[in-house]
Amino acid sequence: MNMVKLAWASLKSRRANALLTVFAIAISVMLLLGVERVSQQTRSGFANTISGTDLIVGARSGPANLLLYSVFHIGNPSANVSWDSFAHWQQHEQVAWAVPIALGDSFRGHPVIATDETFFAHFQYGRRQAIQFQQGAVFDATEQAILGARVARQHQLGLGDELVVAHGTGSVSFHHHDEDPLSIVGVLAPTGTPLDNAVFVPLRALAGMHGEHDHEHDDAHGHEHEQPAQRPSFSDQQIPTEPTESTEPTESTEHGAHDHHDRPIDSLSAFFVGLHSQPRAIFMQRMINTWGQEPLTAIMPGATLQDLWRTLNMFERTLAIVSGFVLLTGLIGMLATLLASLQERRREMAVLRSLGAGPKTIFGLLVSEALLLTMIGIGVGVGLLYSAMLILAPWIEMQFGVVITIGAPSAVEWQRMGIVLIAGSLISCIPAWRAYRHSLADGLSMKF
Amino acid sequence: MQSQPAVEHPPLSIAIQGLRFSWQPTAEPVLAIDALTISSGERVFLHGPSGSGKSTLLSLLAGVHTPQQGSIEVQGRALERLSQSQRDTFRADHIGYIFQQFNLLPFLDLIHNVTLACDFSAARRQRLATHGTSATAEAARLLKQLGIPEALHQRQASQLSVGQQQRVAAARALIGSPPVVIADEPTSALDANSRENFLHLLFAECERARTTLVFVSHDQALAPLFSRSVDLSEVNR
Repeated sequence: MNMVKLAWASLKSRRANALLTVFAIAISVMLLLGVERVSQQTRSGFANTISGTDLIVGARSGPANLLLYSVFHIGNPSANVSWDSFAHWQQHEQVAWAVPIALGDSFRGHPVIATDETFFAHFQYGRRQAIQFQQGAVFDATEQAILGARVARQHQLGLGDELVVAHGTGSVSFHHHDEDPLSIVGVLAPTGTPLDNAVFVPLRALAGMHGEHDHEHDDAHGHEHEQPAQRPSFSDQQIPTEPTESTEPTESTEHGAHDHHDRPIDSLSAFFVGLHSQPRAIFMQRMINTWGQEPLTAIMPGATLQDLWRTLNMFERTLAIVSGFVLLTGLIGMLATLLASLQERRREMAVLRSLGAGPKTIFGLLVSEALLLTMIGIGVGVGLLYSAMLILAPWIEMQFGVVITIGAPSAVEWQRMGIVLIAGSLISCIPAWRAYRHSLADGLSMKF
Repeated sequence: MQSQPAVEHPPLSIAIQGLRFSWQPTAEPVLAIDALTISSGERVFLHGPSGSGKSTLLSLLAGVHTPQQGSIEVQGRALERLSQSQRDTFRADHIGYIFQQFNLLPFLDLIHNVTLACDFSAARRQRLATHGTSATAEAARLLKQLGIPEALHQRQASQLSVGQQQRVAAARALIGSPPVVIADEPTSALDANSRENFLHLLFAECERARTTLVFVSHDQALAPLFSRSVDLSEVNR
């Protein structure tokens, strides 16, 4: 029977204490690794959500807010951008493409993104990956919709099925655009980004729904897309860009109107911009931000993601520090348990000494015990972490659009486990040293 | 200096000469023995009042402590010349030790408590191997020999009576035939009946392997059972 077996048998006899110690270490390991894993996955999830877009433009607001609602579909735009502003910048000589989006509606809790077919041509994620269709194709008529991969999977919807968009972004909405069912013409391939959780409809569909209903509804119901109150007050001063041909009944008087085909909707939530020359982004950003016609905010998604990440990073670091202290508490618990057991185990040590165990063997026995406790604690902690991830991953994905992939521990995670093990063995030297001193002083004496 | 003893004399198991030992360097020695020898296979009854240095002498014999002066030879090895870890190995290989009580690790079963002695000693394992037996088999044999029925062998040590525990301790001291067994008042926790029984079994096993037995006790009634009785208060000036 070697030292480890002996330590194991001894621990088993003090099961309750040992289990509590293991549990304390397991919790701290779970926290340490969990914080690392969530932040690492969030980081890569963040970085992968958008790519190839040089600027995002919305009504004047904080950059983080603009990024969150336009890319992550979290929160709401504080104000809208007029179609005319979009049209203006779309035609700017530096702009290669511009994709409009209008948000605010939902389908069973999934955000509905009203856009046009250019979205699917230009929006990229990950390492400049284009959006792929797993079924169907881009909408080409008004009463059509495209589903993100997860929406289709979750609700068992496919091509040809119909869906009804609800007003507002809550998962329970009392106002449905019941008269405007949309038929599904496409399902996107999974991207691991918030796109999977979204429903895409043509801008015209949205405008149609809201335009038609505006007559029936009380204006006080707070509709974002068509509320005259939310429209920039100076939109009438807009430099006319197109010859007018009024077809939209509700908008014609107010706007002097544009061609129906050029102007599917009056106001947007934001638009994505791709430039001919990426390095020009900073000049374009300044130009848009200082534009006199309408107060706009333009952000470079990469830079804003980094800013946002820096904020979250602080949060992550705080969490890591807290879990470090939890680890310390767990280890101190182990230390206390081992120290408390030493007194009652002095006889055990004397017996081992009588059998020829040297003080070093006694030292080794105590270290082995602590190492066993720590290693089991790490194992249980990893087990807890993986169970928690299995249980929580779908919820996190749903709530935050962060996809948690359940893979083998990363290098950083192995490193943290190593740190726990080393810390455990260092701390175990304290009771081991006490036991060493005891066994030297006590020898074979049993009279305590 | 550790030449083999002359053939005509029975080889000495223990030889003490000019020994001085004190716990603190400046204090009066608690042990001062000019000469004490014990032959191989002798059964020595060591007695003396409390404080006469019995426990100290045993810890010197076991090589846990070393004298400041003089020599203490066990089986021809001068313990004071060995390093601490050499003495630990020496003890594992050559000395079986029985405590007054609490001999066993409560979380191990009886067999493992006995074979524990072999885990620390390659020499004991070696001796068992030359007799063609294993530690586990020998532990079972000794336990049975000492009156512990096989049904109890897988039990945890903590489930036994004190008398049974002492017999398991004896089995552990004897396994692998160490040349010397030291027993520190092993019967003081036993009633008269089990005391006789214990001594009888211990003697039988010591006889079998020609083991030297150093037996410490307050109980003068036991003295006649031994081949020799040493009063430590007389030896220790």
